[in-house]
Amino acid sequence: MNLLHISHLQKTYNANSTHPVKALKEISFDVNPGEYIAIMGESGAGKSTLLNIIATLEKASAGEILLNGQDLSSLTADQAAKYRREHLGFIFQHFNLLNSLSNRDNIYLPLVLAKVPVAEMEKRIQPLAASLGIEQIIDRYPTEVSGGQQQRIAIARALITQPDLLLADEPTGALDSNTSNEILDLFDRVNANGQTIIMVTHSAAAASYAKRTLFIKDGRIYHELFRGDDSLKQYQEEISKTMMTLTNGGE
Amino acid sequence: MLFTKLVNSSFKRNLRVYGPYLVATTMLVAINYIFLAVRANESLKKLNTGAATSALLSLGFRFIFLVTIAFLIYVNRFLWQERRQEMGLYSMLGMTSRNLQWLTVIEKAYLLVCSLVGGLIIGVIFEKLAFLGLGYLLKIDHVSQSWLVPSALGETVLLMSLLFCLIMVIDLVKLHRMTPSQLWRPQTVKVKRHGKLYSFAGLVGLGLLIWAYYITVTIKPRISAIAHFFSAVLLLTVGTYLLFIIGSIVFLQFLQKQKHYYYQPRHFIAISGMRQRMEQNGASLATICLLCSSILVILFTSVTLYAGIGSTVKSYAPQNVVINSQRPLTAQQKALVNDTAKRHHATLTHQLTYTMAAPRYGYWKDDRFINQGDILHMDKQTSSSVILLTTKEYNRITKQHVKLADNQALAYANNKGHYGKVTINGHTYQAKRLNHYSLYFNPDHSIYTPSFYVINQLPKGTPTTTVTSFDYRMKGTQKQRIKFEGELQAELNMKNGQFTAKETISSLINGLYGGLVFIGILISLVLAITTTIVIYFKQISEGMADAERFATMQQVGLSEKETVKSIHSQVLMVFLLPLVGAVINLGFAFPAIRQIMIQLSLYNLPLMITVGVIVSISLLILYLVIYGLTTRVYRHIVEQ
Repeated sequence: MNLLHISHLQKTYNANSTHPVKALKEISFDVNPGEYIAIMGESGAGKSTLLNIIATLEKASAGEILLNGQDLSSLTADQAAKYRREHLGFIFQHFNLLNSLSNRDNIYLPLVLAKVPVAEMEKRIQPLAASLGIEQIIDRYPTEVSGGQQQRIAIARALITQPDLLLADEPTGALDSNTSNEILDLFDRVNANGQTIIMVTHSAAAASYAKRTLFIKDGRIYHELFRGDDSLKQYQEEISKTMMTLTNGGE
Repeated sequence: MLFTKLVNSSFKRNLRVYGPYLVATTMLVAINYIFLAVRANESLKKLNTGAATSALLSLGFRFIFLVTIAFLIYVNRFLWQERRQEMGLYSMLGMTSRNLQWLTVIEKAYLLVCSLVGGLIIGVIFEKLAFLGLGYLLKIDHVSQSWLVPSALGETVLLMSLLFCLIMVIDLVKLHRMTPSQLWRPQTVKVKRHGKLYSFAGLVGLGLLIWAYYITVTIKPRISAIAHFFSAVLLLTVGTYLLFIIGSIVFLQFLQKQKHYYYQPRHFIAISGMRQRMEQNGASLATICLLCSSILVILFTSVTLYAGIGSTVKSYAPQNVVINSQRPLTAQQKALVNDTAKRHHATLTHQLTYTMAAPRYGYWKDDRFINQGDILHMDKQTSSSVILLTTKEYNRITKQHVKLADNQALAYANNKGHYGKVTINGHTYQAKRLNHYSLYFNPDHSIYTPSFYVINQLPKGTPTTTVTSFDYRMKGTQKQRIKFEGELQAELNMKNGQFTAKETISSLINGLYGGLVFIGILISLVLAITTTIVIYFKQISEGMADAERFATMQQVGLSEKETVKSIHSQVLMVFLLPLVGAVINLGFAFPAIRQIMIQLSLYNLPLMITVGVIVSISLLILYLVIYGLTTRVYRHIVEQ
């Protein structure tokens, strides 16, 4: 069974105005458990809209979106909030950690909202902190650690709920290339443990870590690449080529 | 011109900030003008309490002006934060620092002109009203005030211009110190770590507060009471700041360590949010708390004093005219009284003459009265006075037939009295409490309320005084009555200590306390306005900081309902904290104020409690209204 099933998804902003904006025109794809998918496209292509719909932060105008058989478009705002914290993990470009909370409390945040007992939280954080290499900084505050470390904290926050699906929005956008590679290696390892990941990015280097890459242009899926047995470098070149043709408008 | 256009558009965009700011400065200009105009009034100076009233007005004005300065400087910080980014953008777009300075000057000039014009119009309208109110409070009808007071207008314009120059200079210095990128970049707030010393300071704050409360609760009605009260105020101020700034953080840190309590959705958001708020707002909240406390104490004191004028006058002069003399009035003096009354068409009634022991001052040691002598022998230990009256005289003037044994006494005091076994001047009596004594009074008008003891025989060598009192009826105004009383005193050639006339004393006290109430109300108004604005700006700046936090929380899975709920509980907590503090402060100030009131001859406890409750409830209502209004703005910002 598919983990995520999207068919004929559409999103129109200002539908009733004289200038409706069609952000998503026709999107259909499926995600199987354990997949690692990158969604690429230029700014304005509809990547973020798609991610927001999968994240239940926005609702689609038409089409079907099922996550683990749950119809996401039928959720009310409060149900969506509950669904988010139980089934989804998020990673953002600007980390979106709360400065008022210590790193540990930032990681605990979704569990606290889900009323998980303290003992369980402590049990879950230990292996996670070890695998993400954040044991040393866990009791500091986000403003006291580097960007790469903040993103590790954010990853821990996303993973601690053991989500069905990890959503990452330009996770390396605010980081230098060394730190980016570290974070992407981390994603690889997380994926190897069976975690399904969808990552939105416009960096070919970041996308080359994924096993499958979807290209979006003008609200449609334009092309799809599989990494197969390619090396990182080969795959990255292929992605870059596809992006070039995408930008130049022809195939 | 480009600059005025830019300033104009910035005003329009930031109306949410500038609007309330202008309302507040306008009101402050108006109240400053009202004070100056009332102070400049000539007819007020001619009253017999004129000197006291204008001294009070000067004092009040100075206070209000100080509050105005503090307010302008404080709120200017918020305006600066609002404008900082805008300035940064302009400078990135190529404005020179001279251009930016020019912008600042224009902005301040705009604000000054708007608040002066608005404030003076409102001031002129309400000054007349305020003056009528003052006349009413002073219970006088022969004062007048013109519509415009040019000298006060000039002074207000001058003082306000100076103040705005001051804050303009502050802004210019800040501008000068910052590079464009500093202007542009928003400041990130770091969570501070605090060591052991910090917790210690929090404990010191708590200690100071307890000390202050201890002083107020144990104040005795002595001359030193006022000095004690002020030292308590000082301790309270320092203690409140320490407790709000540090104590709150220490407490929240403690809560954060209680894992099972802390890691529950409601507590988690509230405690971490509160901690950040207190780190940033501890000082502001302490200020709000102290402002509210001052409003409560000032209003409470002045209103109680004013409402108690009747009982004070009664204790000074139980009848229209009361004369204390060593010997009974001579025939010649009686004739003088009658002649003067005749000339003023006054009819004398209820004439009464009796002899009692002169008031003795001292203090109580258990049930023994330590006699220090007459009023001139008072010292720091003095805390009460005693007047002895023979049974014979008592029976005659109250038309009763009381029989006492030699070791028995009747006692009356309208403050806390000593009853049962008492020892006075070496004699021990069994004193029975009298519930009523119509001729009770305080002959020396001293701050130590006398207790009356009725006994069979005055001890040998007790100095006595003769009280001659009467009422009079006459047609005529208050002014004529005062004139009659004044003439009577002059004819008898008696000092103020010997001769007390009700109309004179009541107009004197009215003049004094009326002025106090007037100033108390205006000061409370100023404090209320500034408090409101401070709260408002707090809410706005908090809202902006919280908007981001709540956005993140919603992404992680906080529902909208939970968001709204936690916003409310946090805002309410932050809001109620200072008010609760203020009411507690009033509660502890109450006994101290009461002792000071007793010195001013006011003993009416139920009245004080009523006034205290009414004042507190009014402040609470006002506060909740402000809360409701500002929370809407806050939510609007957060939910964007």
